[in-house]
Amino acid sequence: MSAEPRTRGAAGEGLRSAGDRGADVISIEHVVKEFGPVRALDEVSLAIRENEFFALLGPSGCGKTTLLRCIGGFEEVTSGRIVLDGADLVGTKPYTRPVNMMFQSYALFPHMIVWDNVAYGLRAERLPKEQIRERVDDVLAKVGMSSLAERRPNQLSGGQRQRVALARSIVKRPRVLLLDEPLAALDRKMRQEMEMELKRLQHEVGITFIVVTHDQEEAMTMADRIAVMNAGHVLQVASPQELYDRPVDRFVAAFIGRMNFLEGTVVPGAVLVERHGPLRAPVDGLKEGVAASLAVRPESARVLRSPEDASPQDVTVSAVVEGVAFVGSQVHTHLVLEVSGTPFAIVDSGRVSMASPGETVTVAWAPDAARVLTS
Amino acid sequence: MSESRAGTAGWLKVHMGLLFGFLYLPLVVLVVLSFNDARRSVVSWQGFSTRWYGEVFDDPQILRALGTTFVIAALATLLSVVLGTLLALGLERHTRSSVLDGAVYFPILVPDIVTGIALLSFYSLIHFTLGTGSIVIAHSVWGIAFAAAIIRTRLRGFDRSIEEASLDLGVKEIPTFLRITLPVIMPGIVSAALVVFTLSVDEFVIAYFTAGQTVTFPIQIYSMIRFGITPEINAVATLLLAFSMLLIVAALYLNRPRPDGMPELAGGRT
Repeated sequence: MSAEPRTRGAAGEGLRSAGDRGADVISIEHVVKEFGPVRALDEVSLAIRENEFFALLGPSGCGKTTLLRCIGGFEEVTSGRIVLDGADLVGTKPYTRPVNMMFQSYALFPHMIVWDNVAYGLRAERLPKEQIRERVDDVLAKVGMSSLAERRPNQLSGGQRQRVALARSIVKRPRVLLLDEPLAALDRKMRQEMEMELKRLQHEVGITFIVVTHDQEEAMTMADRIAVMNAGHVLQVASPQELYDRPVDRFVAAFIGRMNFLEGTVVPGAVLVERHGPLRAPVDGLKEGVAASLAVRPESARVLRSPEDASPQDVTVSAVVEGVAFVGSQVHTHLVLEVSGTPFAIVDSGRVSMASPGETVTVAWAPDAARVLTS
Repeated sequence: MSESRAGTAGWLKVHMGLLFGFLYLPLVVLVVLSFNDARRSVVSWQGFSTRWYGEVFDDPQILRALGTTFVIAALATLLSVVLGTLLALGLERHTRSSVLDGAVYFPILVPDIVTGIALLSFYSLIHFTLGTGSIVIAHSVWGIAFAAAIIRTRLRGFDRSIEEASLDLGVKEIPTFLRITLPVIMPGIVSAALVVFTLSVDEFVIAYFTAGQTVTFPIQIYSMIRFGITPEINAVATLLLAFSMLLIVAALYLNRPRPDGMPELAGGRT
């Protein structure tokens, strides 16, 4: 942890869940998955901790769902190990793995009522009838579906189906619950509600959750830690704050929240940006002459009427205002930097100085609020 | 404008009336004549009677032929539905070849007479004794194709993740097939069975070629017709008509698109 000032964006505060975390439940070691000539997962390694709410985040086609399906046993890995509680799962069938999955389509059995859907997995374990009844009733109560237990899946709304799918996947008390885009089918309002609910439920049942999502806001809200994936690789594994404040590369920086980029090369104490000259930035440990992107969060920069308003250590660039959007709590200012023509966005409270389109202003930021990314 | 359109609509109604008359009048005549209290070969209406139905059920030849036909239809249906289901599953899930698809449905399109001749020469080539068994196999040739075609329409909307969910919940492959896959596609299987059964019961050409000494129901009727159309034959035909209609309506009812038959996709990726 550094002493840098932490700025948080619109993504909201990631909720922490209590409970002890620490020991790894599942570790994915050098997993490769090939579909013919296509490498969907390329040497993926990850460790997921006990009781953690873990998110696999990335654009579609990045391999996140493939990885989830490899853990569930629906895809065989080409090479590598998936170790759960010390035992390698590779080569075992889905029905022997102490892992359950909630499918994106929910995959409810259409010919069974809700109650039988949820009881299905317990009946497979041949538990005593009394015990099955108790556990099914209990889990249906937990997800608020007790009153609809006699319905068929086609008589339920999307949100209700989602709850049944969730109940069915946790009733067996798996070591790890896999959730494939659990909220993708819900509308925005319902999604926000369910984000909180999933979080609460995970805390309540004390099961490790691995959720796949393409929605960074969803991942930031729910997850304790997030693995950002792209093109079959895990780029960074970190807490939501860490990902936002200290992205390791351009992809993560652009994928998590919004980011302004200025391309240049590393020089002592600064990044040399073409036509702008050297802009001071934290370049410690970086080799001189390396190509680098200077990355500035929209809320880390300010719009100033004149260069004199900047504090002496600030980096300043003059820009022309393209457009201003007032969205209530914030003002989004879209600018184009003079000389280079690079687009630049700033988000602030707008109370200090609300610029108008066409106006020439000064864009300023503290050098250590910027990140220098070399890949 | 509107007048000429009304005129067109009027003509359409007449046209439709004629068409339906053309399609259904012979059937109506058949049914009516089966209740005609007349002597053989008299076509004029002599009063209502069900005596010909009584005679049908007193005729040992007709009853024996009916029994043979039902046994053949039942066996051919069983064979067609079991193999057709497996074929449909295999085609739907493990091939992308449209040539193979066409090859499977081809037997439906081959003229019956060609199928009959081909089977007859094949049976004699391998010295297969003609009889009930040879007809069952012959009917299964297109029965399997029909069954596969009907069951595939059911499989097309099948969300395979429900099978994965079953495996995931601790149930092995074969029990998963029996408890999840089979119940969900069952309406398609039953409707395929009804169609194959109906087609087998009234199939004449192929059965005639491959029957040997066996007399099926259509063959029996054919031999009766040679002595003229009797009210008894009308009664038999009416019974067959009622039976076929019942099965076909049941098949259509079972295979109708239903909201609860298949889970709707819960939503796509955004």
